[in-house]
Amino acid sequence: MAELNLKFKHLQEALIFDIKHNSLEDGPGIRSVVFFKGCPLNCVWCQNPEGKKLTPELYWENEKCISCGSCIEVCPENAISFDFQKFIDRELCNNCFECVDICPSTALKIIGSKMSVDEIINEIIPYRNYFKNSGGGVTLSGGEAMLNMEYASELLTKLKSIGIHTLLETSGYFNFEEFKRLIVPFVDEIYYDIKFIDNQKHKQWCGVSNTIILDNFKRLHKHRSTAKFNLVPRTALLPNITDAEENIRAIANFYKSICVTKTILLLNNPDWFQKLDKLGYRSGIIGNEEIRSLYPLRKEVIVNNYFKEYGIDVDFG
Amino acid sequence: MDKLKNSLQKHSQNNESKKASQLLNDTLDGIATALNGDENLSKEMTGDLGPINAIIGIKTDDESIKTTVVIKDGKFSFIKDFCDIDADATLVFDSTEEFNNYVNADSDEAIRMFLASRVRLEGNQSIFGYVNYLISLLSWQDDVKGFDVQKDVHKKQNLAAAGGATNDGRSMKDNRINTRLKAESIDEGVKWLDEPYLSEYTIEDFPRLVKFKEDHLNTMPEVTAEQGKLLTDYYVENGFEKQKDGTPWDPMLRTAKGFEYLMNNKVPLIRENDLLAGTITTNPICGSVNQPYTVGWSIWGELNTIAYRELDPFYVNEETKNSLSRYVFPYWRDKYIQQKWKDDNDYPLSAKINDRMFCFGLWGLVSLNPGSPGYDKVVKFGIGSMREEIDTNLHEFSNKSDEYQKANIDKKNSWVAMAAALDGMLAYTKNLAKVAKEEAEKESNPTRKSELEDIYKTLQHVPEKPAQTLREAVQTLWIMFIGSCLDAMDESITIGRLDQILQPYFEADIKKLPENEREEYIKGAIELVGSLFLRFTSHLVAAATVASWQNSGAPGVTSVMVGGVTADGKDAVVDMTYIVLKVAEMLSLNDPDMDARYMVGVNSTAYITRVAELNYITSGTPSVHNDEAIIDSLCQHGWDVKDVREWVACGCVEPIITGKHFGATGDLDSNLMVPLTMAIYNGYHPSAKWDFGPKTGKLVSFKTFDEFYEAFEKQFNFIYKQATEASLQILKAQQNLMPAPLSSALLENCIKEGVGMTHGGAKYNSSGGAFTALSDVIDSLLVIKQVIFDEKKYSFDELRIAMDDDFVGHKALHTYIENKVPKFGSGDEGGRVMVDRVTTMIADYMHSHDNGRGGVYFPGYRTNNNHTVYGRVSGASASGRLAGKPFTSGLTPNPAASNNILDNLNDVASINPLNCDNNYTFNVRVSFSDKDAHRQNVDHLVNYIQTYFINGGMQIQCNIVDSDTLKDAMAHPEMYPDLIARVSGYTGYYTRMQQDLQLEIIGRTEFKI
Repeated sequence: MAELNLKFKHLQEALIFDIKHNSLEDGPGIRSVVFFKGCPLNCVWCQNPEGKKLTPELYWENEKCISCGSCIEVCPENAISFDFQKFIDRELCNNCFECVDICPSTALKIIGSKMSVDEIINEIIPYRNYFKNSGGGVTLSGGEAMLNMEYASELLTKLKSIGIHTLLETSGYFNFEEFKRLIVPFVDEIYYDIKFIDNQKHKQWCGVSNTIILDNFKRLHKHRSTAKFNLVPRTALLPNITDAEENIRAIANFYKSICVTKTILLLNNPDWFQKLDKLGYRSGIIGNEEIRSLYPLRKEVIVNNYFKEYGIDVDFG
Repeated sequence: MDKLKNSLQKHSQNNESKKASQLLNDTLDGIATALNGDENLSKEMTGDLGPINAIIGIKTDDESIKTTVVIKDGKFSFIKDFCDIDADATLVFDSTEEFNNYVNADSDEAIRMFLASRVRLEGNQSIFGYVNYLISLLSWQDDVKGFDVQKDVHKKQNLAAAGGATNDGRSMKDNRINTRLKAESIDEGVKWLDEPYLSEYTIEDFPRLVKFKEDHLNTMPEVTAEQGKLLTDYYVENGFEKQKDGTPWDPMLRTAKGFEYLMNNKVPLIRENDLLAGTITTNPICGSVNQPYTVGWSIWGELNTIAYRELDPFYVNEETKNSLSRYVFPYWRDKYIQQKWKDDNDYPLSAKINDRMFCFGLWGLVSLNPGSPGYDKVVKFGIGSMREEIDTNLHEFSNKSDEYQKANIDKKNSWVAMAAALDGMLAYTKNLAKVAKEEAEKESNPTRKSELEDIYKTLQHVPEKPAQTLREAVQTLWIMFIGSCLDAMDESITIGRLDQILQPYFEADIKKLPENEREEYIKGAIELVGSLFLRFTSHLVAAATVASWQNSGAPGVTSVMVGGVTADGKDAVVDMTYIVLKVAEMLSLNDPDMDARYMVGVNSTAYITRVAELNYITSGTPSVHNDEAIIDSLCQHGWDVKDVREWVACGCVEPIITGKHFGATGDLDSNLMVPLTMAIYNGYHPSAKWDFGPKTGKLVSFKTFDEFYEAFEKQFNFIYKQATEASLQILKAQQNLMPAPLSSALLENCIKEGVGMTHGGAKYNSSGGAFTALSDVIDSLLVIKQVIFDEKKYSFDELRIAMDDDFVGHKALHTYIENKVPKFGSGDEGGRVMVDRVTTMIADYMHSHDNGRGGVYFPGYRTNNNHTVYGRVSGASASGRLAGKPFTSGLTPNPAASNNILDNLNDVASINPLNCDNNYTFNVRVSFSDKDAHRQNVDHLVNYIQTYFINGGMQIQCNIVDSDTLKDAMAHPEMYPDLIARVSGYTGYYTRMQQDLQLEIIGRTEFKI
């Protein structure tokens, strides 16, 4: 993905891979979270690996399979087999999704379907009263919603017009002027992910440079009082990766230098690991056992203390 | 009949290859020899009033086995190869195979066989109790051993099921209490509490209540015979059908006179250290009344073993046992509601359906469900004024013409009856006062002495005169409650709006006090209400073990209501509301059953927050009711909204207008899955193996879904025609045997008109039904509609065959219907449309049928434990539910409908309240991921409740406990003595519930917040 020339497609429909309702974790109150497919980054530990690619994908959960064999019969590429094990050859698979149609259980699913803005609104409306009473609303997440900025803008505009609180979760990888024009006026709160200050590390673990990300953050932070949105940085703690003392201090220092006083820390939740298999990605990625376990409590305390030293308040998300 | 089973089992062990009838005859031979040969044992066949004779048939449907047992003039004998069609009672097995299964079944399996009507009892149920009792004289020690084996088996199963469950649930309650909230604002109606949540108190501040609660949890309740014996004494002396002088008794007068005698001669007791005088039974801590005219006889067969059984054991002393088995139960063998119903109507089809247990649980056979008799009337005006009103009416009556008097003799009898009942209450009060005085004189402890003197003073004044203080008001409520328990049946009686009743007296008292005494007074008020609560725990209904399955863990279900609006529609929350809530929080009891009315926008957020917090701390109470929806649902009948606004929940959750309304809310309790099953099987019911319904068509004949739905409706009409007919017949039996003169006196209009409540005297009349399996029925209809008619993916017969096979060998079909048909509760529109269609059909039927006393039927959807019991004995459903699995509780959606609680809430809220005027229960099991965020967690609950009500939801009740804690509790009950769980309506102690129910509660979706 070209770094500086970030032109975004004007899509009538975006590819959405999930809408999670009644979430208490992606912002204040009770929220519906809309997950956009496609991301410019490629973080190794991504919680939603099914959101990385911009195209629909085949998702297969073996534990739901009843071995009826209908998918094998119907596959035009003979990509599915059941010799000793059940296997889907992703090289042969052409994503026609005939197997999904014929599967009687929900073992085979399509991740990523086109939805219009109105379709999303219609799905969210039944829960509207729950937003009101709890201070909740709608969160845009993913993947990276800002790959579909015009679409996201339309969605946010419509949500604001019916009085719903909006929150954007973003990697920060976008064109600032477009963002200011299309998103800022319609968003109440932004959760902005900061992973590494060191650019080399960022390229190594996340696939892209962080220059534009940190730059955008500085500009947004300056801009927030005039535009009236709440900007909250977030960092996911991956053991011995992002939570290394050097990185934490660098982040804390960065905040201090621009007068950011609060941050959210997210603890590693290894559920994402099992998704890789179901997507057909090769899972022999990281030898690191820690990345596959829940984040240890004692480390939480240590990181918290680092931030405290710089005068930064921490909330655990 | 499991005493017979155990004997059969014993005999069969001696010779494996015996033929069934040979085995039966040999067993009976052994029993006969043992009973007849022992002088003491054979005496048991002769009661105090003469020999207890009975003829019992035992057979299979095809008569390959048939024997008649004859107990006559103190001898037990039997006639081989003969089944007397005029037997008092007959034990029927489906087939020889079922007989053999029965012989080899353990007690759990035997109960299931009864519930599935593989084995059934036809005829006079109490006579089976008699035979069981006799057999148990021989076998009770083996029975007890059998219980121990069962207990062991369950223990092992529970430990295994718990495997690896965490145990931080053990400190859950304490943690939540320690972080309790302080009120942040004060309602307008709260004038005297500085901090309404009363967070400064814990139960340790009330040592009296601590002791009472300990006794409550640790004392085995006792079977008592006082009521039965005294009533029997009276009728033996004064006649039952005819009076001493030969004239026939007017039934209401007969009941009232017996009641008056009972109250006069009832032993007046004041429980040690109690603030309130009077007890329901001779056991002040906990006793069962065993009303012989309803279902007291149901423990006859278990008298020798009831103290040792696993579920709901009761202690029985020798004198009580003899009194019941030789005197009371034999006398009443044909004088109880169920038998009178059968006798008077020639054992109608509806009685046969009810006996088979798979379809009806007509509650009118058990209890009058008197609802909320209007105790506040006695508190406000006193019995004296009611007696005056009656006397005036009688006087006017006597001045009328002879013809008029002759034509209206029922009125006179009703007035005389109500007067006698009230006089009985005054006599009992007098006797209690005497005891209070005597005990005060003897008492050496000065504090206690002064308390007893206060009790004496109180009883000098109430309940004859209007109450003037809080203490007098509470004592009045308690004494009148005792009366209702003994006047009819002590089950599902609601005290009423306790906060509204007591507030004026609280205010009158506290106004008189100087400021520095008020805190002490408030503490005393808390203690007094707490004592009242712990009086309500002093009675339980002892029932046959099979009933312990159907209402597992249910106490007497005395409901207490707080909150809501006044008759004028204003905020009714007052000081007493919070005092009652505080008591409920501290005591965390299964009874009284706490209910809270909530009028969104009128009652404060502080109030609903406190109610939500109570649910959080106690993990299961109070249940919360949407005031607006319920008031609307009752007003549709043209009732005065000012009266309707005084509604309370009774008998679980059903709405009753306190003091004015006889609602008999359990009259049509039934299994809604039955008519659907019979529509699929063309009038045949496969689990009951009974072809008794109309022929509504073979499956191939249905060309559209609507055609099939029509067949469902026809079966529904057939079944409920039986039910409503039964209800009318049972009403007649109630008029004869349980006309409740005292409760009638307390219901508005009965005294005015001279008409008892069972004859329609109350100002408002209705009857109710609660239908089990609504969710499963909806899901089944959705599958049939989509898969068979819309998509034509499978034929209807294919589906039926799959159901017959319990889906074994039909994996693809089963997976498809489970995964690809959105259920009710998933948020999909189809479910909402279907539930509206079905609930409207049911409501239309119910609202158009007369209940025999000036009202119609109200439908509702709460299930007690019937959802597991009916589920156990039902085959597979079209929804994909497997045979034997529970239906959902109340109308809660299937746990697999959605993992998002909002979908459940929205779909349930979409149901039209006008179709549910008997209310419903919507059970939600919730657990919180951040166990330490007390304020946040409570706020979440409040959000959900408020929004759900705004969207139209009628009722919600929570179990705020995670699966691990429940599993830990099953495996280590001693760690969770007072963990309460909302079943479907009532609240029970989780660790005392029958295993199926415990598992079902764990199986409910745990919504993690």
